[in-house]
Amino acid sequence: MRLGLFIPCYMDQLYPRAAHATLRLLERLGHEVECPDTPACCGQPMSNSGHAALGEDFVDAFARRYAGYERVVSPSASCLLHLKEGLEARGHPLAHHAHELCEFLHDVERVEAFDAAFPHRVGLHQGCHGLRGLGLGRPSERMEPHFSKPERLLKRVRGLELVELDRPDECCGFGGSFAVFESDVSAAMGRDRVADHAGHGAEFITSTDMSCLMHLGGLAARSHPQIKVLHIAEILAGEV
Amino acid sequence: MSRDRILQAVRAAQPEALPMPDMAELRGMAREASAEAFAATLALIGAECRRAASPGEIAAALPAGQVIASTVPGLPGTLDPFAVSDPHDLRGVDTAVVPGRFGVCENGAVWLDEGALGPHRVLPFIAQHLVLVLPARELVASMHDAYARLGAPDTGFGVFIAGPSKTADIEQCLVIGAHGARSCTVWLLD
Amino acid sequence: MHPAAAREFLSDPARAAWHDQTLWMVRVKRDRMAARVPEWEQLREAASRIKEHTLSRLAEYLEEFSARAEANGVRVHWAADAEEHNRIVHGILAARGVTRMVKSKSMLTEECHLNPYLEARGIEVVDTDLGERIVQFKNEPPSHIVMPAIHLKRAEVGAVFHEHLGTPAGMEDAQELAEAARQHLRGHFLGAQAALTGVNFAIAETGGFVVCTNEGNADMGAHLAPVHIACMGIEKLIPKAEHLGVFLRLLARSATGQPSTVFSSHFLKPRPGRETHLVLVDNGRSRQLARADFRKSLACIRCAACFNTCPVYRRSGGHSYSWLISGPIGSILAPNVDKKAHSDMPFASTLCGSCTAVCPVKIDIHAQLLKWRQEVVAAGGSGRAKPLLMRLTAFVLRRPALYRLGGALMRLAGPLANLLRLDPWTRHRDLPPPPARTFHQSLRDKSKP
Repeated sequence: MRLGLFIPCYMDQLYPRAAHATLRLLERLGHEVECPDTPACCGQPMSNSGHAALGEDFVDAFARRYAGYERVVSPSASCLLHLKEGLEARGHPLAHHAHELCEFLHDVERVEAFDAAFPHRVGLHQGCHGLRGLGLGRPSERMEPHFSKPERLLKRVRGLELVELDRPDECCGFGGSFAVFESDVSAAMGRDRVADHAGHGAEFITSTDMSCLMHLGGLAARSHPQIKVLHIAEILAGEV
Repeated sequence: MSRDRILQAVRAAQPEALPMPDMAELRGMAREASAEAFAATLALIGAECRRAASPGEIAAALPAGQVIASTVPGLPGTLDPFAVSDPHDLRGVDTAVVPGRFGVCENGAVWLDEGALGPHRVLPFIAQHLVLVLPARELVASMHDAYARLGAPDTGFGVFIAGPSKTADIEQCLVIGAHGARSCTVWLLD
Repeated sequence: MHPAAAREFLSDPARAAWHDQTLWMVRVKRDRMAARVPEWEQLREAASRIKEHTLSRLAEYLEEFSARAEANGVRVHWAADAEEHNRIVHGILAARGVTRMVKSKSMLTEECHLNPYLEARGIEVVDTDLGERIVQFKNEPPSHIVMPAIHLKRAEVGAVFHEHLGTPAGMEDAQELAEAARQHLRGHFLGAQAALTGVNFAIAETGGFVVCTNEGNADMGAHLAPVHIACMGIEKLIPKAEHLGVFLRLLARSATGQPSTVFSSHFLKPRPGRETHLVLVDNGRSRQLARADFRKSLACIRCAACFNTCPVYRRSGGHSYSWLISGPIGSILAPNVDKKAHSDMPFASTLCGSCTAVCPVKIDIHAQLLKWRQEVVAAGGSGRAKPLLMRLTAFVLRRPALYRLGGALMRLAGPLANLLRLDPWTRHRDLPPPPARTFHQSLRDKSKP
């Protein structure tokens, strides 16, 4: 099908590798993928800072730009959640055709195997917006059967060993502008997450959100330089 | 008057009436009540569960040389709470022995109503130790069953007591015996 | 402001780690206990709907409740605000010549600042919950609504008791400290002329109310003193006694990971010859009820599960928030009290949503935090720098040329920022090594013939 790929601004600028991995994953599944070249902000930074009005145009621009695609896929759960909520509030049909990457691979494509090997110990950081917002898994607060779509996908990668964490889904403390305006608490939260992964012997931390990983990777660079961060698309695409 | 002002403000603020949820499903869930389950929960909450064939057996198990105030028929203590007029005079009670109406397996709570407490509501709280006596068949599985059983209240005061009083206010360290009883023994009477 | 106070809290990393770990253990206990109830999620749904229903007919239920309570012999008072609440309580005490009162935990009386009001009028108020007594000695507000002294280590409690109770210096054993408090407070229970308690649930169909404690302090006070005053916010109502089955199953499991509080006391009628007073307090609740976006916050049963799960609360402590009810729920209640004074509270969150997922009455706490942010900013409560920065960001992101230029500058500046570590980001963490080309640049390169 004809897919629209939404690469958020910070990934465009700082993490092109993860964006390319997403693109190739989707193309390999036989889709025609387009990624409109516009400043691709979702408007979440404004909304989370209490300036939702400043961010409304971005949702409108997204709706216009991507309305023509059968489905839209994004490798950023947090941005996508914000866009979907905005679209739902507008009653825009795109709300139901926009997917976070793992959700698309798991629910729409039902990918059973990846042509990928990653013989490493990997810690999965379940980003809050994907987990509790988009329902990519069951959050630990809820007394329901466990499931995690990103986890299921990672288990289909040859040689990959998922590490158990003490706190399976605690927030990393990124939180958008929270990382800047509450930087001390943000960093304390992130350090504890990195320590949890490190304590269980993770060599890599992966996630559905590069924003969480930017924060965790930036902390790990100083405290646990042996630990690297990778977007889940990079592992699933088998390109690392 | 504030009453009218508050009610007026609330009436103006409240949204259109939403339906009262139906409790039938939660109430109707099949749950088993058993003495084993009840005893296991009591152990979990720091209480002890014992069985007796007669009140005499319980009386024999009560410590000697203590001030014991009992409201359980056939199980006299050393201090008759009915003979005490001021509840403050119960301050010296070592052990209160009180009849429970029924126990709840899911949380180890025992329901005591005013009738069971005698003239002083404070009795099971002010005593150093608490002994609850309960017919072994009087167990319900859950709090839904408990309230179904209680129905419309017919008592000026009633309390679910689940184990000895406790606190964890200092560094989350569990301490048994805060202001109320330091121990709680529940006797199931066959 | 929360960020500065949090920074101060975190400046003692060992203590901060202890605080985090201790409260996380309470969350773990809650998980274990909730997992033993197969219908847990159904219970939450039922609790949520009972509360929503009650709030939608609150006026009727208040009338029903107060009429039945009065028929039961309880004297019902109505207070529109904190001042009136304090005046009513003082009036009851003064008319009976009360100079010594014991009080069990009531966040409402904290909210109304009742203690200083009564103390200024010659009435001694002794908080009888152990944690409350500790913070009362220290002249501090509680840092947690269920565990008021959780910010203190046992050595500090020992020092407080040494100063106020004459316990031996250096006493640090929790058991010994609690025993000292038991002996000390027993004297106050026996000497009190009045007892004040909070209310966990008030039942419209019976006119009765339920008070839950683990320590037994509410009962020790209420059943000994000749006068019992129970103070409650008007949102504490539930329609029927059978609804207690739902709430009592949720409350203690959510709060402390116990299957039940030790004491769930059901007060219906005064003791013969004694008085029970009940004060119904609005103090801003009807205002919150009128705000559709924030109405659901009134469903709160004060279990504090959202505190224990909140990664920000655990790493900043209750005293870093500007209102006495702190944590996530406090952060959506406080702006209703004073939007300007508590403008930073809705920002003390990453919006991770754990609070919402753990809440036994399903309050959409994180969504309300986000909505309060909009209201606070619209009211000018976020200073000047932040709005300017946001406008600038939005301005740049809307313009492709500026966005590309800004991005390029940022990528260029990254390595330098990592060296200088002067900005709030690089003070704690590195920026990633900048790629040579952006994603879109490389796409454009590829599409060139």
